[in-house]
Amino acid sequence: MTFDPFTLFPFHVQFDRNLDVLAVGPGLQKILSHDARGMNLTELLRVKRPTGISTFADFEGAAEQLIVAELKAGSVLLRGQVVLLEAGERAALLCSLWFTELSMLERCGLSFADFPFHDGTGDYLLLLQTQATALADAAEFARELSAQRAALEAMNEQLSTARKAAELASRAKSQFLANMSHEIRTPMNGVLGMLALLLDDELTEDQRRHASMAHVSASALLTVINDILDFSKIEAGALRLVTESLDIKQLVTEVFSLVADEALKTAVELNASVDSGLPPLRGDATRVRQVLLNLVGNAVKFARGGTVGVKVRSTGEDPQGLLVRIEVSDTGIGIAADVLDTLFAPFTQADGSTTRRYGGTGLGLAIAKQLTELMGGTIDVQSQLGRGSTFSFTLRLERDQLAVPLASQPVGRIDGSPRRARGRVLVAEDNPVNQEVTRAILTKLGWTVDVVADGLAALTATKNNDYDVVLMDCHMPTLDGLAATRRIREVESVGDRLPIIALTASAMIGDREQCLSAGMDGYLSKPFSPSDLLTALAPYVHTSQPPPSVRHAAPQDTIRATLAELAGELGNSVINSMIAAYLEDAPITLRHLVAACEVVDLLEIQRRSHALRSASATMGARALSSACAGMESAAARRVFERENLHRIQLEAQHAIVELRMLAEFYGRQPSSLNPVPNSMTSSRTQARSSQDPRL
Amino acid sequence: MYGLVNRAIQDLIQGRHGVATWQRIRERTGVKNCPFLSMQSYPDEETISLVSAAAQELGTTNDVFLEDFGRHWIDFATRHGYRDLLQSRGDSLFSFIARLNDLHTRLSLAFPALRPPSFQVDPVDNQTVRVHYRSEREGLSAFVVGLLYGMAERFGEKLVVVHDRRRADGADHDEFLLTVV
Repeated sequence: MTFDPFTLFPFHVQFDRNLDVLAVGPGLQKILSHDARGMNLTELLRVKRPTGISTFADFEGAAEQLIVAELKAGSVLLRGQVVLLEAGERAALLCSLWFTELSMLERCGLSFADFPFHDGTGDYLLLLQTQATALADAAEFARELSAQRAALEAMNEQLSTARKAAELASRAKSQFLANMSHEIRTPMNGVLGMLALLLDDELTEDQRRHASMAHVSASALLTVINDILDFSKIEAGALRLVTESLDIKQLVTEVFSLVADEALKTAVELNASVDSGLPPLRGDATRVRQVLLNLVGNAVKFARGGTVGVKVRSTGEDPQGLLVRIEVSDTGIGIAADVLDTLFAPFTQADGSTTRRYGGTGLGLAIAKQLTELMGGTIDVQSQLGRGSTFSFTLRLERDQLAVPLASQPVGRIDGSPRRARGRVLVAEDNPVNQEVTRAILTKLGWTVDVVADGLAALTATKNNDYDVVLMDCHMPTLDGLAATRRIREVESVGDRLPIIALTASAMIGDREQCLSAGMDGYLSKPFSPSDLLTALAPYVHTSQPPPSVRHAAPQDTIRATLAELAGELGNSVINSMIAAYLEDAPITLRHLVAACEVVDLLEIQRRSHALRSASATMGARALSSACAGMESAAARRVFERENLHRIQLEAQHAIVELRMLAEFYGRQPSSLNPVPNSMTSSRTQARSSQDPRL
Repeated sequence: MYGLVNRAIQDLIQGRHGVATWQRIRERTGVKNCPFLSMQSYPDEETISLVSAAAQELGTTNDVFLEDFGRHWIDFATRHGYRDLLQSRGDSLFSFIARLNDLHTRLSLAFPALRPPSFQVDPVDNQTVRVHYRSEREGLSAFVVGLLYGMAERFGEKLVVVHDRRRADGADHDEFLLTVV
């Protein structure tokens, strides 16, 4: 059996020099519908490449080239080459099929069996088929994806609509919050103010007890309301922090003084250890105090007969600020492990009985956590039942460069203004109860009081009368306090600036800034105590006059005598509030004064010594007041008197010690005309702070 | 296994029992519900768990389901572009079976990750052949039986398959006796 090589080329054609077809391969014959033998090659196929092949000689010449030809029957493409046979008497075109898809096999009546194994045509077609399948899959995927995308877009559209609705609701909630804040605080101001006035009247013992209980309850209610408003404000993202000088040591002292009475009653020992290496810092002192007071207050509640300790230290510094860690530990009842996790969640307390036994809204720790986090810190707790608890929080605080003067101080009228001596105040306030409270307190303090109920009336009154100061409610009908202030500022002449203090019951963010930018000089948040009012008006009292509240008395030389005179006019609770306010504010003012002296900031020295002078004069601390006056007038002449500072510090120390003792006395006594005590014990059984509804 | 196989299972279930049944089967396997890509290779375990889940869902055994799937596979491949590969104009059932090995060799060129089985065909007489089936994978002999019946249907022949030796019973490979009746 001889091997016929043509069997390996089922798609070949043999032809002679006349181009007559001598034989075709079986595969090619399958495609053709007739016997091709005897046909002329040009009838069977057309050579497409190379071009111009029409004679045998042309085929001979193309023997080294790739031939592409088209079968005339069926438009099938062949690819192959020419081989010469029998010394060039015959030639063969050895070809394979050029198919681009598998289905062409069937169309030509062929199957895989028609291809020799060396011819990869079928397999390449199979490969193409798998790729076509992959592409079809991809197209199917693309269709599914675009359907999903369309669904997602529709969902996004719905979400966007829902988000807009939610934002609208959130804005409405914020507005509601602001309104509620105003609506709740305004009547509370009335309740607390009226109760304070009532307590100053002649009352039977029963009446006094009832009124005191009402006052305590109203104060407690205000605390709860403040908690809830605080919490809602933080939740609504409406609470903004302020940055101011912050003395942690001072804060700890203040917080201890606020819980001192409770600690004394429950025999709790208070310890503090503050890292002496802490640099001067800046942060939101009010909010740090709030967190610290919450933790220390809780610790005192639960550590009956034990110890509460506060430790403050720095744990590092990064570009955002100094990290300060404050630990509040107690030797109290401890907290069970299973409630530790929910301790900082709002509206939860260690157990249901806690509220009944220890009081509180269950919001204190949640607020502490939120505030801490707002201040870039964290809060955590470790506790053992029966052994006590340690609450720790960290804060990220800036270093205080002392270069920035405090912006929030009310700017008073320049000394010597003729208006000051008259002591006439305009109260613009629409709420009748508040009108009454404010009028009563101011009258008691010796001011001549005019009251108007809206901004337009305030404009008219300031045009027609000379006032030393205006207390301006922000929310009033026809023309609100801000607009009225702007109108007053427009028409007044430079150098004749009328001091205007804002009264506002809404404590939302931006209020203070709004008031100051409208041209107001100070800001008093309702409810305010008599002492708040006194402090706010202090810069506008002329110090060469007798203290404003002592209408018929000669100036007194001592604090004790001055306060006794004042008590005769105002009652003990007002005096107690005044002392509390002084003891709270004077050390801070002094601290700012010392700081200003260190860097010889004359403007600041002038301002701080003025503030301390006014407040001290009111309290009858004449030595201190006159030392401050010296410092103030020297600073006004661009002179810095360092020796005066030592005198001020010394006198302030005396005044504070004396006032602390007097605070015990006035805080303990029912409100009536009492003889001035000659000696006092150091027992502290009455909470001094209970007179001030905000403490 | 190539995704094409899993798609064929899906095609069988959805075509006969509906989309909901297929969804339940997919949930049984715990495989995430995304479409299979024909030309992507998936773990064998996924295919095996689909077979088991389908058998459970349809209340039958894996082997019965696999035989059914083998018959369906011929139909599926014909409908999905492999008609020409199965095209055997002029061929007989036995000549096609004799070329099963070649067919899988060709497929292994186009599917580089394919681990194809091998089929050795020994003629016994005019009506009977012995097929030696060897595979890297175990447990698919029922699928082969289904395939053989499916091909017989395509050729219009009536075939009897006897599973003569079983790998499952300790033999080194499976052997089938195929008789055209």
